Order: sequence, then structure tokens, then C-alpha cells
Amino acid sequence: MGVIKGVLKEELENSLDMLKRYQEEVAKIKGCLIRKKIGKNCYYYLARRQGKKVRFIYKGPISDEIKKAYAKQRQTLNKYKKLLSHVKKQIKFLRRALRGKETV
Amino acid sequence: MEKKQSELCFEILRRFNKAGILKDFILIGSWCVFFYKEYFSDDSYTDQITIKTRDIDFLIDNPAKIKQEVNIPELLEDLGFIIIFKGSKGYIKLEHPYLILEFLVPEKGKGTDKPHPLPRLGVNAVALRFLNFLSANTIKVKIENFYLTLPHPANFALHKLIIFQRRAIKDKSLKDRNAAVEILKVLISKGEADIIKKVFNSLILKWQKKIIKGLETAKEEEILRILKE
Repeated sequence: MGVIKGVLKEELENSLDMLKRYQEEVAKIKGCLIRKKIGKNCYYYLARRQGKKVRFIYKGPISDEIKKAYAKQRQTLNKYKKLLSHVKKQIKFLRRALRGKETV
Repeated sequence: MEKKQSELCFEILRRFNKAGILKDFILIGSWCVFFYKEYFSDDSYTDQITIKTRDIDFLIDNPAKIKQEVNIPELLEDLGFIIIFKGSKGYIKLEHPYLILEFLVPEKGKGTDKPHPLPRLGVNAVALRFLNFLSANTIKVKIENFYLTLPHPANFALHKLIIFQRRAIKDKSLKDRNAAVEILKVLISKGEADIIKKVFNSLILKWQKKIIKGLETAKEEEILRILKE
């Protein structure tokens, strides 16, 4: 095996590990805070997927701190999802590069 | 991807510098080659002489010297880094699709297979042999408004020539050897053959023999001649 292919193989292993870890991190973040305006008032719910359905769990009055924590969680989730998509692209690219037969 | 990767690398360095811990770190590994272009700025040096992987290693020569309490995983969390515990001993790596951060400390005494805890930094480090050789002779390169410490290219290259023979994976071993030879050639063309010789002479005989053996297998006559003079 050539030097480049050896490096690519190692990078593929790293990416596969990374994919698993990002998927675990995404799975840890459960639900996101939703604000519903009913009449003149706003009510907060935790939107959570349970199987095929999305359930809205009423959270009652919540403090600004909790709101901020959920917002941060949402940002992290979006970031992880974006990076997860990068990792998937990398895996696809690396697998394609490694499929070649010639020694690089 | 390469641009995004180097942008992320600079951002990490900026944050380490702002947190006041960059001065305690020495950047080692294949990313050194990228930053050596500052050192070789007058010569026909290219950072493409070796393949740069995603691994970016920071050597902490004297962990006891670190005074600041900086939680590195928290510092880099918003960039999307996640903590990975590797192996049965739980070595910490910080992973991102573009970069994988690892911390290293020089192995002392009998050595251990356990990670070296760095509680002030919120991570642990891998203890490895021969790292003292990299920290013994360092250079500083200017990046934006701060300085990054790197091993002197001669130390970096000679270190690679020692460790490539210990690598279990043949491809990695070849990569190390090629990078070492290329850097030594650039140093020679820069007129720093005497530095290579000086660094080589500072080594114990056993390591000198290893380097000679490595260069003989690579058939690098010119470098061998300089070292044997």
C-alpha cells in the first residue's frame, strides 16, 4: 500500500469513529423548546420526537436561564448536525479514494 | 477543506493564546511542517513536502509550569469539538471533522501506559519517549500577533528519523522518513548543515546509530556525508 493510501485509510477509520461519536452526541440532545402564542399569552413546550410522532410537552412558566440553556442546546445541535454531514461527506470521499487499485 | 482546516487551526491557536496557555505548548507532528514555511520564508520551501493529517499534537514539556486554569474542551466546545476517550486507559482526544487534538508529555522514568492527567486543562496527555529531544531546541514563529513554539526543524527531522523505525505501520513510517529527509535537505540548502551536525552530535550514540541506519535505508548519501564528517 502506498503512503497516501495508508494515510487515507487511517483518516477513514478516524472519520468512522467520529461519525459514531457525533451521532451519540446528537441523540443525547432530546427535544427543543417551542414557544406557542395562544391568545395574548406565550406558552412554552418541549417538542420531542417519540417514534413517528412529535409530542409537545408543556413546560409551564420558565425562567430566562432555562430559555438560554435550551437556545444554547439548539445551537450545539445545529452545529453537530452540520459537522455530522461533513463527516459523512468525508467518509464517502475517503471510501471512493480508497477504492482505486493502483498504489499511490 | 484545507483552507477550512487551517482556519480552524489558527482559531485554536488564537484561543489558546488568549487563554494564556499557548506559551506552555510546543506544536509537534505533521502540522509543524505547515508552520515551518515562516522559518524557511526565504527559501524554496513548500509545506507540501509531507502529507498533513488531521492530527494536531501539542507537547507540554513541563506540565507543572502551567499556572492558568483553562478548561480546553469548554474553550473549544462551540467550534464543535467533542471529547473522545481512546483505548482502555481513556486517553482524551478532541475531535472535529477537520482536526483531532491530542496532548503529549515527555515520558519520564520507567514509563507508564496510563494517561498523564492535566487537571488544570481539563484533559489528559499521552506520555511518549524521545519528546525531550523536540523541546530541547525550539524556534518561535510569528502568527498574526502572537508566537507559536515549534521544535527546531533539525530536531524535528532527526526525531522523525529515530521514530520512523519504531512505527508498526509501514506507510506511516515511510511518511515520517520522507518528511525528515525533505526537511533536512531544505536546511542544507539554507546553509544550516552545521546546525544539523550540532544537533546530531548532541545525541547519545545509540540514537546517532539509529539515525545513520535510517538514512542508509533511505540512501541519502549527502545527508550521511554531512553527519559523518
